[in-house]
Formats: sequence, structure tokens, C-alpha cells
Amino acid sequence: MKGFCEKKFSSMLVSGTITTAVMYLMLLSDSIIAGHFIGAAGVAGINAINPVTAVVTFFGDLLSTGVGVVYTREVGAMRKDRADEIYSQGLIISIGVGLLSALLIFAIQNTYFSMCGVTGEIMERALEYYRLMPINSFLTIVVFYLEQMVFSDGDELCNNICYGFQIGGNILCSVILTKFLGMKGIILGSIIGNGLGIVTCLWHYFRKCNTLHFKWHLSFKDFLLTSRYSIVDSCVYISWGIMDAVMISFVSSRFGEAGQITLAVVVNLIEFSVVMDGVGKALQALIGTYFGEKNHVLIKRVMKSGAKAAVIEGIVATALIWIFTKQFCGLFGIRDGAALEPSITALRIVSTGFTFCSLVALTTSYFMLTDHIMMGTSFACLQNGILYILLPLLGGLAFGFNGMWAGFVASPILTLICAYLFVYLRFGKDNFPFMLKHMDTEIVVLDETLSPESAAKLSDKVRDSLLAHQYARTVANNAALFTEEIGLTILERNKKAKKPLQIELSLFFEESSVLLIERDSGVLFDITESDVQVGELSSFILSGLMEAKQEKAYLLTTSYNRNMIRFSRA
Amino acid sequence: MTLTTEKNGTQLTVHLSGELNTLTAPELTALLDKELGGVKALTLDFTECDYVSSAGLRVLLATFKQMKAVGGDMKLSNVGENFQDVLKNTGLDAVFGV
Repeated sequence: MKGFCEKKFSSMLVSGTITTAVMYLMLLSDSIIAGHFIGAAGVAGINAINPVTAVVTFFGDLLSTGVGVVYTREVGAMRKDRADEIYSQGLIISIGVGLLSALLIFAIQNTYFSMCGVTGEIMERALEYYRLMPINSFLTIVVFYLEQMVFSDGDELCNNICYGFQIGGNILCSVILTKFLGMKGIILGSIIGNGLGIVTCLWHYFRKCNTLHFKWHLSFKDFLLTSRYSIVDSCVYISWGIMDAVMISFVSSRFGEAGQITLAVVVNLIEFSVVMDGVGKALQALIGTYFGEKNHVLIKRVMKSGAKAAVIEGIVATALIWIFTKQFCGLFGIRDGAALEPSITALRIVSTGFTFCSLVALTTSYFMLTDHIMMGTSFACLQNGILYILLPLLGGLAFGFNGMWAGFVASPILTLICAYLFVYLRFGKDNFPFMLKHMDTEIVVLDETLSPESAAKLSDKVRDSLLAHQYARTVANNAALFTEEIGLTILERNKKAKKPLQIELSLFFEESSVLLIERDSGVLFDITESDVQVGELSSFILSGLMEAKQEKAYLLTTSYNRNMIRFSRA
Repeated sequence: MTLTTEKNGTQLTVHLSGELNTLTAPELTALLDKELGGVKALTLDFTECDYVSSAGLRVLLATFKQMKAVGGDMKLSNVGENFQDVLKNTGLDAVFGV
């Protein structure tokens, strides 16, 4: 049965997947439009500026991913002021770095083109595209950041609409403007798309679920703290760059031009596989919150859902590539000729490793989210840098052309084995595979679809749980009463709700008290507020109980209500 | 929840045992609907019932109104600590005379 956290994870999966792929999709759409309307020179012109785009992507990722992780963790630990500082600093730095990158890109234009080696028509096309790169780089870095923060704040609706405008706006505007402005039209389309994305993200700030509040804060220490978490993703792009360079050299020397074409398509496929990191992205906000709470039970539960999703995603991706291999080759201009059959074979071989790629991406994301950043970075580099070079080279030398592609399949399998073996040997059997033994609080998690009957049943379970932990009957009854009245009050407030309401309770049994954390998917309201509106008898009683309670807190978290109430043993 | 009754002319005593919550409140309602006819003095004994939620309180308030309407009287006896706190916090201790 899907519980509260599983349902939230599912709702964030689409958003998470697009978040990881947005840059790739924006560039891919630009390349396809250039290929269709301008020709091969247009595509080559965009490719010539790839290193600049890669640097912009690197900074966009560096400045956003880590802030999202730390923000959700601080919210999870109920340190809202600290969370606001992290968010605010991230915003200031993103805007600052965006402006700086725009200036630099503008300033280095002549130097870059004198070094990159392109000439003739490709140079002209690249120059046209480059002209508006400064503006686009600023907008890209800012929109990356805003999208990440809106996602971390649990507003996947706003996020999905943002991506719709960003990618859809880019494609539509690029197609229209290319006809009049050529290459400039393509990048202008990206600018408009990014601009629409920013405007959509700003809508989040006016929604009730917004918890992003600005307070001026700049600290180098905090910048280093947030940047650490971004390194795992960022190093993947650098690893791919190195892999691409080595493989180009190897393939061109052994297999010639035809091999180069197939390699280009395979590298594009590998870059496409970044979408499978969407599972890790979808888990980010949840695991960040649960990690801040030290809720090891829910971290494990949500990871199990993540693992299932990663396997399914991998299998679906493999199936889609197998079915649409010819069409995928067509995207890169390979429709017939000598390169088609080898490319189809190569893509089908490489795609069989997708399930393992998906699991490796999930594993390295988990390492990052649970503060094992060095491990996450190491295993990401192991697969994407070292093994993606070593095994294809060995496969190519031993078994020829197709042996190379088999090397790409073996890499994620070997990485997965190494990663879990390392965890087992380093952290021990008891700590395998989640490494959460340091969180040793006993936790009981209860979740239900809310109804008057289920509120009473939850209340009974809370009482039984406290009695089983030798709490006095009066304390157990008090906690049970809170549970039932919270449930009934939520139902009272959500009479017009169209979807079933979910409620989740976590009981943290500490030495001399139990902390009850309640999460629900109802309308947003703070039950700990002293002047909360009272409707029926249940909210009247709850209000009275809350008034008498000292240790209580409310914090809107990933667009859900989250209440914490402590019950002392004495 | 278990409900046992003692009737003596126009006096009715209901002994509650267990929890009076959303699930069990309808049972109390059904019993009172059946037994309250002609009763002028109703006592609800909470010796073995130490948990009353808003659902239970709703039944008690409705019954209190009903008894007052027929010129009768309703008492709550042996109220436990948790229920007493609820009554105090909500000001209903004065209503029920607890």
C-alpha cells in the first residue's frame, strides 16, 4: 500500500526527472531546430559553443543542488531561520554569478573563437548563436536556482508548469524566430523560454505553500557547505567530457569516421541517461527533511520506493530505445547509409545497461544526501570517468566495435557491485546498506487515508505504542487524544477536498519523552497557533489542548503541514 | 467499549468501560436513544472509561440538552484525569458540574 511518503515521492518524480534533464532538453531542441532549419553547419555551430554551455550548466548546478539539499535538511530540523539564510545566500550568489558569467562570456568572445578552431560557415553560425549567450547564461543560472528552490519547497505543480513554459516556450519561439533571425532566433527562443520559466517560478512566492523567505546573508563557510553537495552531479559532466575526448581519439584511430558518427550518437545517449537521476532528485526534498528529523524509518521506506522507480525507469528507457532506435538516430541526422546499422546496434547494446545506470545514479544521490559526499563523488567518477573509458577500450581491443559498447554496459554493473561492497566492508553488516545506525532513536511510523474511523484507529495505535514503551496511561491517553482531534480537525477543515487526505505520524521514542510529528496533505493551516479559527467541537478541544501544551511547533514542509508535539514521560 | 445499565424507576445509570471515541460514540447514542424514555436522572459513570474524545463529548452534550429539555438532570461521575483536563480546558466542567 502506498503511504504518505511514497505518494509524495511519486508526485515529485516527473518534476525531478525534468529537473535533471532540462538543460539537456533545451540544448537538444536547439540542435534539432538548427539541424532542421539551418542545416549541419547550424548544429556544428551550437556544438562549437558546447564548452561554454557546459561551464554555464556546471555553475547552474553548483549553485542550486546543494542549496536545495541543505535547505530541506534545515527545515526538517525545524531551523527555519537557518534555512532562510541558506536560501537567501543562494539567491544572491546565483544572481551575482549569473551577471559575472554574462560579463565574462561577452568579454572572452574573440579569445574563445580564436582558440576553438572553427572556421567558415560553422564559425558564422556559432558567432550568431554566441551573440546572445551572455543574456542566456544569466537567465539559465537564475532559472536553474529558482526551479531547484521551488522544487525543494514541494511545489511540483509550479515546477511542472515552469518546465512546460521553459521548454515549450523555447521550442515554439525558436521555431518561429529561426525563420526570421536564423541562429539568433534559436538562442532568442531559449532566452524567452528561460524568461517564462523565471516568471512562472515567481508565482510560487504568492502561493500559500511558499516558505521561501529572503533575509540578507552571505557566508563563505555556507557557500562551501552547499557547494559540497553539488559536486557529485557536477563531476559527472566533467567525467563525460574526459570520456568523450578519450573515446574520440580511440575510435577515430581504430574505426575511422563511421565509428566517430556512432560514437557521437552513443555519447548523446549516455548524456540522455541523465534523466534517470530524476529519481534521486525526486527523493532529495523528502530525504533532506527526514534526515533533518533523523527519521531513519522513513528514509529507508522512501529509498525502497526510489529503488523500485529506478528499476522501472531503467527498463522503460531501455524498451523505448529498443523500439525507437531508428528515430533516435534520425534526431542526429543518421537516417540511412553505412552508419545507420552499426549505430542501431550500438544504441541497443548500450541501453541494456540503463537499469544499472539508474541504480548507480540513485545510489550516488543517496550517498550525497546522507553526507557521504566523497563516496558519492568517487563512485560517480568511477562509472562515468574511469570505467566508461577503461571497459570500452578493453572491450574494443578484445572484441572489436561492438565490444566497446558492451564495455559501457559493464561499467554501471561493476560500479554498483563496488559501491555496495564498499559499504558492506566499511560500515559493516548491521549498517548495510543504508548507513543509518548513528540514528538510533526508536521510531514508529503510522500512516492512513484520513477518515473519522481511521483517526480513531490511529489514536488507538498511538496509545498502544506509548503504553508498550511504559508511558503512564494518562500520557498515552493525552497523545491519543491529540491524534484523534488532529485527525478530526483536519477533516473538518477539508470538507471540500476532492482527493483523499493522507496523514502520517512518526513517534520518536527518546529517553524521557516521545516526539510526535504529524504530516498531512490537507489545506495549509497551523494548529499550534493560539488564535486559529475554531469551527466544530474537535477543533475547539484541539485548540484547548494546544494552548496547554508547551513543546509544540508547526512548519510547512514540502507543501505539507508538519506539526511536532512532545509528550514527556513525567 | 462495553456499556452496562442500571435502571431504578426514573433513574438511569450507565457504566462505560473502554474508550469513548469516534468509533464507539454511536454505540452510546444508540443505547441512550433506547433507554432514556421516561428518565429524569441520568448518571454516566466513567470509573472504567479514561478516554473521551470530541466525538464522545458531542454525545454527552446532546444528551445533556435533551435531559434539560424534559426537566431532567444529568451527572458525570468518577471522571478520570484526562477527561477532567479536557473539560477544564474547554470550560465544560462548569456545564457538567464536574
